[in-house]
Amino acid sequence: MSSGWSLSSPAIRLVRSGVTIAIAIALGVFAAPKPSFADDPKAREIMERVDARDDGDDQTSNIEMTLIDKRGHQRVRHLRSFRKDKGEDAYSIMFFLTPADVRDTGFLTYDYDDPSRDDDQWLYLPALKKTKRIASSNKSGSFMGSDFSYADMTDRPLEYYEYKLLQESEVGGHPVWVIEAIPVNDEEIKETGYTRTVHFIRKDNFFQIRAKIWVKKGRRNKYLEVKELEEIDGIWTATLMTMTTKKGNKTEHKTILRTSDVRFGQPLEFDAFSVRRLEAGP
Amino acid sequence: MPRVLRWTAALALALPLAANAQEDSLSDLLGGFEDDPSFDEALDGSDREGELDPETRASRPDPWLPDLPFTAWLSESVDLSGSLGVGAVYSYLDHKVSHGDEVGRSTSYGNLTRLDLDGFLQLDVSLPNEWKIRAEALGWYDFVYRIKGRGDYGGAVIDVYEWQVDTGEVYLTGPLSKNLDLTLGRKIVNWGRSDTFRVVDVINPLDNKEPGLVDIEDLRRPKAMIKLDATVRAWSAQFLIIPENRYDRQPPRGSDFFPDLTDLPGALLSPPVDGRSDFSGLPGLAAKVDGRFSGWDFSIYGAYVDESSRKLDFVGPSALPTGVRAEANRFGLLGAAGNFIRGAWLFKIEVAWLSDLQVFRYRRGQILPSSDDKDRIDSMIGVEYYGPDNLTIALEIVNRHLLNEPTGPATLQLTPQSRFETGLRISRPFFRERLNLTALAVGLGERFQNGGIVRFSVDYELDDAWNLETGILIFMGGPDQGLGSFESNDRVYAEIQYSF
Repeated sequence: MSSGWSLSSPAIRLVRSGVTIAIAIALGVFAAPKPSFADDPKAREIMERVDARDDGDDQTSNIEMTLIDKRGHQRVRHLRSFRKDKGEDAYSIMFFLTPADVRDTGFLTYDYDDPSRDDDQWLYLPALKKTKRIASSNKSGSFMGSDFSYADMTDRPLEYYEYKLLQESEVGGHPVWVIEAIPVNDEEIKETGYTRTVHFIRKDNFFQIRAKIWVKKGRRNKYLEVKELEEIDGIWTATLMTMTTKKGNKTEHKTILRTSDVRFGQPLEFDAFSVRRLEAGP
Repeated sequence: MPRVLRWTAALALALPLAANAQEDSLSDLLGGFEDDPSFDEALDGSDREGELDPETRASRPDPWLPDLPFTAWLSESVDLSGSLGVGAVYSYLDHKVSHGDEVGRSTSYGNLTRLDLDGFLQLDVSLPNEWKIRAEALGWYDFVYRIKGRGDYGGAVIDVYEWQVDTGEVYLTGPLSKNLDLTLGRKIVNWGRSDTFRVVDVINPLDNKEPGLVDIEDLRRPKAMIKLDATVRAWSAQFLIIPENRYDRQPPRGSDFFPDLTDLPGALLSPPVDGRSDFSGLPGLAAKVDGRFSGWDFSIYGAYVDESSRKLDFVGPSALPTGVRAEANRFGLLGAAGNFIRGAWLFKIEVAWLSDLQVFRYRRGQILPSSDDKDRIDSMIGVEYYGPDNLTIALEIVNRHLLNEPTGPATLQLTPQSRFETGLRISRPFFRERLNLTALAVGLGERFQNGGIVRFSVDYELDDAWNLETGILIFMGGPDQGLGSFESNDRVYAEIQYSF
């Protein structure tokens, strides 16, 4: 029962959800490095290698997102995602398949590498039969109610952080570098909502398999864990990962992200990343 | 103990402690990844084989392979979805409205004013080469008329509000080439940048039977059309041929949403209620061109289509008309719209020149012949702010200005020469977007002084299939004889919906 004068409620919930499903954190993708900083050169070099790692192109995949609250109640979303690189920029389009009340809702994102440019995002609202452009500069909000934020889902520029190699360790039998990243300015903290991140980077493939994030609001921590990592067509891809929000030792919420049917090198053309395609549906 | 020894002893004790503290600190820093078993049942993927992406066709076999069994074809290429809901509306201000059929009788609109069961079905059939068919059906039955007595309401009210079964969009669509799509059938085409007002959005008529409470899915009424969409890089174009004429569904006489025209003779209070459908006359034509660029976009629109409200002509001598006759009125539109993004701010603008509009020329105490040769400039400016925690604030202001209508005392009350409309919407999700709060105000006049509506709504996701929405609708009175006359129509509402 929604007003004719407003977006439907599910649509309102989705208005801010137009993000690339590239899952930058999981893929360990970061923007190209530019100037050098007075931080730990070895840590920065590692992060540059992370950034330079091949994350594939012309990708299609299916995504299942399970949201679990502290009472154990689960909500599940299914998405279909398409992604194509354009130089250093990334175009992506994704469609919600479930839940039924937001089915066919689609997002088109042009994720620019240049940190001075805001991403372009359009949202297709099937209830309104309308495509809306939406602003994307504030990335601290939750993505679709999950523990992932918009900042987690898009590239963050390396030059916005100072890095420090904390230690070398082992996670799941894999040697890792443990690198601390501190934002160099308040603007980045404001945009992401994060004051500090510790990255766990696998030494053998430069893939981030863990991250601990300090959230400014509410003094919470978020914990990213890659539970399953597969090499698909020569590209290391996270197929199962979790993001957990904790306050102290108490878990408040958890999101499980499963990626399946991942294919690289698909015949995706740039014209497919258009509003026309967005409105045509999955 | 000499001082130097005390310091030495203290240092000897403190150094290992400091080292331990540093170790602990680093351990704390890096810790916290321990799993909470109560959260990890969903991680068990052992029984998930084959159910991970139940609706994803990309992972399925091609349903159009010749040797695919019929049942497999059916499950792969045919999809049925929809919703079922139960809704109730309670008008907490008891008020009476003139009965639609009988002079001197009135209908009470207090207390329960709606208790309906509504359903929506959507059938999608995937065809080869990315073609597809979509067919939607919707309907409702409102039990309140049985509960309160059908005889208390005018016949037109029963016709419009008691029940309905209708088709939604029904069309065939697919690509003619890499850059060109064709759509044939009943379709909704929503033009423009505004979420609240219609400036260049002129293609489809509206369902206005219950302002502020019509399901968004049902708000626009699809029209039969041939639609061509072309895209080349940042540019796209759309061309429409619209043979079907459909009109706004308006509240009938006897409804508490019928405008306050009490000083008009009774016969004139019965303008056409419902949007009939016909294919008479030349088809309407419409086209637009869009350009989408980084941070901004624009569109140019042109249309020669029927007005969604029907032209009203008086029957009989203009000095003493005996009734109202409804006819289609075709008008022209030339318009433009654009967006501009700056950080968290989205600015939007629309402007339209509308020619040969019909104007229902009514002034209190004086009846004037209807006119269908008026031009109007409609313009909209708006801004949306996308803030932290997914807060969204949107403000839109519209002006509609008749170009060739006399000013001053001759200004018409139903169609003033210049009218401002203002819309403000604030929404924010809570509890991981399980709960969404929305405040919406739409008013006539720069300061809502001519009447308006305020709605506060709460949308709660019970689970993946069930959704609950409730809210309150408050009407602000004012001199406008439409929206401004509904100040007794305040109501609370609730609906629970199951989607599949």
